[in-house]
Amino acid sequence: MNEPQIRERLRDAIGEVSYPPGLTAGAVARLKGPSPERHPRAIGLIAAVITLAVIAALMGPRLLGLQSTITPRPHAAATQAPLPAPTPDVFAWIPPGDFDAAGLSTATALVTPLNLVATNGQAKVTLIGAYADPARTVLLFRTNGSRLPMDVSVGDDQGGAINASSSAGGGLTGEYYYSLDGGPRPGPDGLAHLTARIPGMTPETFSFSLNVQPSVAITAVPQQLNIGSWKVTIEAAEITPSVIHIQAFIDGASVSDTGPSTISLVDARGPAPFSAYSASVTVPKQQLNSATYKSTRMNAQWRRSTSTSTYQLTFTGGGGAQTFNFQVDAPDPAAMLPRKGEGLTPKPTDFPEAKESLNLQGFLNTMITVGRPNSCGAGGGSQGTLFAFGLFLEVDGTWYTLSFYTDPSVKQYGGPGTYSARAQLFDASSQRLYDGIVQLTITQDAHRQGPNSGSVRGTLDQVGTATQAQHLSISGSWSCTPGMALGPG
Amino acid sequence: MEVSLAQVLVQDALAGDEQAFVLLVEPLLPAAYRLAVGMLRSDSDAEDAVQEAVFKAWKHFGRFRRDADLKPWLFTIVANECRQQRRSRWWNVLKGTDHLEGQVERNASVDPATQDLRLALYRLPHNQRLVLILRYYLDLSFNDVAQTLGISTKAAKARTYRALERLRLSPEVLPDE
Repeated sequence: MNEPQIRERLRDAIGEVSYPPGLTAGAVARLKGPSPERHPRAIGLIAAVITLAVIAALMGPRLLGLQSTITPRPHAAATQAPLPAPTPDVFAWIPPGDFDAAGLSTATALVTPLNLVATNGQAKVTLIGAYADPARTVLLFRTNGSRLPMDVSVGDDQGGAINASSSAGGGLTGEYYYSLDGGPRPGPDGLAHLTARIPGMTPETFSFSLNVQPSVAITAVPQQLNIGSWKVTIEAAEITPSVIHIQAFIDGASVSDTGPSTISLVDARGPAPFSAYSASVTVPKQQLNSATYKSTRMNAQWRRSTSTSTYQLTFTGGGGAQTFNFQVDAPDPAAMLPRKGEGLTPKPTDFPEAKESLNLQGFLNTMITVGRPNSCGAGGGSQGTLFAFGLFLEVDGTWYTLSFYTDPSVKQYGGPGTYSARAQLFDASSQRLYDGIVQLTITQDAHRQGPNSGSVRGTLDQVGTATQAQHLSISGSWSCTPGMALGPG
Repeated sequence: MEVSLAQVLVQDALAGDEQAFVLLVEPLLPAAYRLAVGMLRSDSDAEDAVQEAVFKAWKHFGRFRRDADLKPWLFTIVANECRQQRRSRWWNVLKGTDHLEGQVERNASVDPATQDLRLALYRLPHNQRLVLILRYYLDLSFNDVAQTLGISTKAAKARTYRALERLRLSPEVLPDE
């Protein structure tokens, strides 16, 4: 047997896999957690638990009003403990990294904190929070170092298990999220009464109640449309507090006729990556025949942006394509708890405007004529003297930060001239999108007396998967005036 | 002197810049995940292993030689993490061999020969399974396989040969690269 034959046989045996969309975010969030040997959060956590217990004791009677609407369950289960409504302090109980990993950054205030514990010998699993909207059900778990058992199942009291695809991933140390791409059904009291079952643990079932957060319909997308030979019924086109959600029934397409390229969402930054995608047959497999085979239900979700964005939604297939444009407003500020330090960061508009002439091509295709410099001038660092220039720039309503600084390890800054400089583009949440080395020319360095100016030329490489374009090219001239708030980098 | 972006990032990461480290490892994560799935046969276990491995890689990045190749270095950590996971309590409780066999038998769409091969693959010792996953599931050169395993290229080939023989996939002479 030769190598290609061996390769083929082994690949058949192992099977093919697709990369989970949340893995990169999970790995990055895991980095931000302290190592297990030194866990500074532990003390804060104990304090938080004590605080929550005291608040719960004080506010218990009021909160128990909600609890009393829940029908007691006959089986042994850990039931919802009364906890205060989410406040910024909730971050002491559920760290921001967990929200980020679970795709709940835009809905932190809508997560219900819980404290339901199950054990098995030394292993301990705590359900620390949960969230639901029409498109998602998300549970946040903490373990005492064990991994989360794999066989979690979630159901409601309106029809048993929630039938949806699921994903799981890690947040911080020993913490996991479990996400179903489907929402629970609320009961007559307006609350969803959920059970999460973890086989092998005692108790085996957690019972708790959640508000199902409302969604807003995307009216630009019609309920029925024809795409080539396909007849598409839009079952859901909505914006929830955490995702943009499209569910479609496609008559005329088998599952294998469809794929992630069937539906795409594009904003000013390029195609948005899916946070969830699935396509499935619409009848039980036993009922599949030549007629039912050619129908598919597709569920697609994308995480919401933290700012107002304009989107282009395109369906492609059946020999045709249709595109719809719509705008998604920035999330309700009340849905997002302020994080430590937020509110202290200067806003782009805090910095004065300056004339620029920067041509951006690739990820952004625009000519920047006005920017708001946030760093300007030369200064000393640990490796010597460098020159830094950075600015906020606005493209289609979205703010970015572009920064340049000369590399003193390559060449010390010694006045006007051309230098090799590190260039980076960040989005509004300070996520680095592009990075590279460019040629930065400083034509005029007036120190603190007047404007500095020069030119720049070079190409930055894509960083991560938040954008689609591989490169961002920058050329043109820049200017900035040093001021009190503008240091060198 | 021309400095590549990768060199700059390694330098920054060694100086403690976490974001630079993320930029370095991010392109390797799909292959790392593939390696973990191949070793652990479970998507969710593989995610855990990759996350833990990335965390450990960052924690020990100070030991990374700036002129070394990051890919085999990271893959070694992922492989070690997979070995750790298989020894853990949850694995033993939930993923015993019986569980695997039941799972395979239920999958009627896979032909019996492929099912047998899958079972045989997962019964191989860790090091033999690892060499096959690296070579045939990740398409690494024998040189990269050797670097990941910390052995010579000749030893990597010999180990591959022995593992294939054990699976009764009698190989022709393995190519020189």
